[in-house]
Amino acid sequence: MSVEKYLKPEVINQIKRLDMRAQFVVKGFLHGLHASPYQGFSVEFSEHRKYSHGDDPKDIDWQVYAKTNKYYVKKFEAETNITGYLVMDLSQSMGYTYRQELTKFDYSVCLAAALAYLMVSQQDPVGLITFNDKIRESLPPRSKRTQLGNLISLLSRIRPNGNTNFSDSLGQMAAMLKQRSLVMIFSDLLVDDDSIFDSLHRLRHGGHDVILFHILDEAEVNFPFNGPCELHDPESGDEIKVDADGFRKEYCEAIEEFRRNLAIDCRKSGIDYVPIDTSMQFDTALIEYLHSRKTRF
Amino acid sequence: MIWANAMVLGIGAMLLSLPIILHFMMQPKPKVLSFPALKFVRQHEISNRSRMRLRHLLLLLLRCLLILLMAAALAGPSVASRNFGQWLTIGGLGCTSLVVGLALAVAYYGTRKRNGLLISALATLLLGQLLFGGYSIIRLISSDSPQLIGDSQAPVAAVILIDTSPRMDYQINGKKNLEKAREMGIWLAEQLPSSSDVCVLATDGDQPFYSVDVGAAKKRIETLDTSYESSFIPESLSIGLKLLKDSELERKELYVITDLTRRGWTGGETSTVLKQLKDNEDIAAFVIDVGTNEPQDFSIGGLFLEENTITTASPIEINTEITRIGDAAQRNVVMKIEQPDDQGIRPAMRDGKVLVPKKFWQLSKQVDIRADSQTPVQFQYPGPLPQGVHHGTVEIIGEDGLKVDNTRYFTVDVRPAWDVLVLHPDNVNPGNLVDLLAPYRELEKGTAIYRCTVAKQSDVSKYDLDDFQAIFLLDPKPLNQGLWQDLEQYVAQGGGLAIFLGHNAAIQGGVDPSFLTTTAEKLLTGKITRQWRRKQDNPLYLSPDNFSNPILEPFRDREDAVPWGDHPVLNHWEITPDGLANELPTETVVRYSTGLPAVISRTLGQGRVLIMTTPITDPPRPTDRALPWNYLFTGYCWPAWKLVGKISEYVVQSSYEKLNIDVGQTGVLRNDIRKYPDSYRVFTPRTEQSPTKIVSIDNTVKYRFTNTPGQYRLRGQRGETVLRGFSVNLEPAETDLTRIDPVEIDEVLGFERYQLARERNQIQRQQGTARVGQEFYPILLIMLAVTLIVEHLMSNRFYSS
Repeated sequence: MSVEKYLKPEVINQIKRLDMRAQFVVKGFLHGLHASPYQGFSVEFSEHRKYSHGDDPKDIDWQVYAKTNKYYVKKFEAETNITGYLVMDLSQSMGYTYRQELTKFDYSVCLAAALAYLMVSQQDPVGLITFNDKIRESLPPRSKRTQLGNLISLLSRIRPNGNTNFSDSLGQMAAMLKQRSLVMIFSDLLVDDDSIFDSLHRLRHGGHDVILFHILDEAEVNFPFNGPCELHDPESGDEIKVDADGFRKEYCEAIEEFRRNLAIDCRKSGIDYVPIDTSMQFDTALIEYLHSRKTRF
Repeated sequence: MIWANAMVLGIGAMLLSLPIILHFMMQPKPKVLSFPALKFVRQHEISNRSRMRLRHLLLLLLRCLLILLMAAALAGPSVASRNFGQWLTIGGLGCTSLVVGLALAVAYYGTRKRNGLLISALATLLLGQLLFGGYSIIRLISSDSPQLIGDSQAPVAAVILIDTSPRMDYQINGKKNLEKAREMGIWLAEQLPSSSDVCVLATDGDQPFYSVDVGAAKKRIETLDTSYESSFIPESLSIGLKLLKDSELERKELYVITDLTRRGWTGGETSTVLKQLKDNEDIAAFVIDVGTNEPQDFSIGGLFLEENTITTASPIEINTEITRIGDAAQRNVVMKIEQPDDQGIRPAMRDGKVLVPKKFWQLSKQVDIRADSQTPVQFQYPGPLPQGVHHGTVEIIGEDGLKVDNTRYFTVDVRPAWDVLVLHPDNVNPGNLVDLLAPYRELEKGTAIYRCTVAKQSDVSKYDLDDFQAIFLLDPKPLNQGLWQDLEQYVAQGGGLAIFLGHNAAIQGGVDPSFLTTTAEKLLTGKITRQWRRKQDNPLYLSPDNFSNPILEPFRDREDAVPWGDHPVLNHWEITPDGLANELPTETVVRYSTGLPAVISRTLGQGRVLIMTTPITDPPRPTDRALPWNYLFTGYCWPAWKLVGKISEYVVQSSYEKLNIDVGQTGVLRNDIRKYPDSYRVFTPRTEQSPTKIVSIDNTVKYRFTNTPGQYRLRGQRGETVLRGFSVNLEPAETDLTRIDPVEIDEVLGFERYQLARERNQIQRQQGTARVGQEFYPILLIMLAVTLIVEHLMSNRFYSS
């Protein structure tokens, strides 16, 4: 897969458009327009706040004063920079696709690249960590423009392989991260143990913000099979014969329940949970991301 | 149950293995798919596998059922119609058992959490259904009758019973019901398979027989006509069913073609027919209605004449009622009385036709009749009429659906008053009887029907007894032997004698010996044994218990309302029967409340004797005794008046002559050959019929072939022409067109034991059902279609790709 594919113009354009839209909303707010839904997340400044004693008078936004007759000062980008980590699940199950287009892993890489671009554009330092049964690759966070190239280069190189040990890998990663960071995890979470949240809680206790992109193939969500099927797990090698038609409803209910439980647990732990399947557009996922970030800053 | 193509069942059984083989051999191989989210599949793997098996099993069952239904439909099963409902119930039970079984399987295999209660309930229900179904099948098979079904062309033993009652003459749009019945009967005969045995039976009482062939049966149907002596349908049915029972043919059919009027069905031994049909289940019965649902008819009820015999000065009074079935209407009703032929020629036969007098005295009335109601009508012809027999009619003028009931006939005998001799001792006042027989007012007008000669008992020798039609002996004193013998001879020659015994027969606490002679005992119907007196605590009065004798006719309809107890009897004689009852017909007409005889009648030779054991002449307060023998004529004493009046008619035998009778009854006329001819020629109402000769036997002429309503004229010769006769009417109920309710037919033939039809196509269909049986083919085809659809839907659902 070429690097360009991760930076598809339409993806970049969508992100750009979103960024532009965010800037426009902020500027609109400054001009007394409606409140920005993305307040506090922009490239140049994040928000206005009321002037208070001790603030530098040169930061007063005179345009706002002219409109409202009140003093407001600008909060600048330097105050909103955050270190981001893109954490990729490399397990064998991530390489699954039903329609033979984008695997879950491909989809995750596209998404990660777009987010990296966004963050680098905001001059946020961004790093990359990949894992399956343990951490395989790691790229320290940098905010330079060259970081994007390094990151995309690494993303294009990695392949899904082996079994997952989610909790050990995330535990290992939690030990690695010294500074408060934004950890964006891309995984299908198809693991047998129930200790996913132990490792996620450790990350949260380390003061990190966590966004969990739960990426499933559209077939794993919709179960589009018909008739008798013999299902084969690529990771464990297990096989099960089922009657797909009679099974669809129960499966969909089970997966829905799984997602719902994850969402509840994440909300309790202060983790942003973004359920995604490979049929969804990238911008949908990114908008979800921006939505969740809005509440954080 | 029989199968038209039983072979197909075998082929079906073989083909049944096909889906089973295919099921196991051709099971689709599962698609191998990579799927990482297997842990969610694993959670429901077991229930899914059970369900998958269940579905496959269900499909297999459906496919087997498809072949089974196809084979069954092609095999053409059919059952006897009467068993169809039971087979259908068993089929329904089978289907519900299948459904319950499937529900049980689903409840057991198809759900994750098994509901023990539901499974137990379903299992119990299934077991119950299977047990009940098994029991029903065994019962049905064991009770299956040998009725032949399946072959519609097998010869049939058929009885076609056609109602030939006078009601079948009802016509609408110019067509009589009998004509419709004839057409239907001929058509039915044509429908019967060749070499069938056909019996055409009418309700006219003819003996049943199988016609030589269908053509002969059709000929017989064509010649059928209404009969005024029609028997009830159940009676004819009983005969027809017996004939069918004895037939050797296996298939038996009974057709009743009728107008479904109630009259025809509500007489005869209905229970016999019911039993016959129940015992012979192989007989298929059809009732074919050729009647009209809403008939329109006028009819005259029975004619009530005050007296059949009147004197010349008496008026003729006739009461009747006009009945209307249908809408309100107005009609003229006419009473006609024939005037005697001046030349004394008619009735006579001329050119093959009977000529009768043409002139009438007549009265007319306009009658308004409300819908479905009756209106009384009275005619009174004041007279005077010349002596002799007079015939007349009462007619409704105008068009009507049924004409036979628009005319009623009557005959009256105008004659001089009856001469009677009333004998009484000195101490007896005959006033009561004389006033009763010849009231002063009637004597003045000349309309009294009795001419009384009152004489003292001691003066009896002054009279010639033969001059009198009857002699009344009121509380007689002892009679000499000669008088007893004269009286015996008088009665034997046709005279009437009434003896009212009283205190004059007593002597010193016993009975006078003159009443105990052989001759006296013969007339007194026995030996006078003792005198009974009323006891203080034991009321004694007349208490009739059997009202069949004409003397008690006035009390017949008010048996319990007659105040006999208000007129006590204090004394009466007891007569011990003489044992001659076998030779001389003797009857106790009235008894006392103690059960002892009060009025006894005896026929002696040509005459009659009537004995009453208590007098009718005792005053309430007698001068020579403390108490009277009875209080019969005290107070409001109408019962005693009626009783004595009827006793008088009985002894003069005025009621002996039956001048107005119903169809089928025998016309009887007294014929004293000393005064009347010894033979007559009878002219019947059938004007084309030549007169027949009848002779007088025992001073009586009888004519029994009264099968047509109308006037029967007797012409005899004794010096001059003697004309006599009587009228015959159809019983009014015979022309009642009221329709019967099907429920009432059920009471005769049995519920669902027959098919009721009006149209030919209905009959054809029902014939087919009876002969071929009720076929399951349409039901099986519907079930096949439903199964096919279900199988299609299920297989599409299970194996959709």
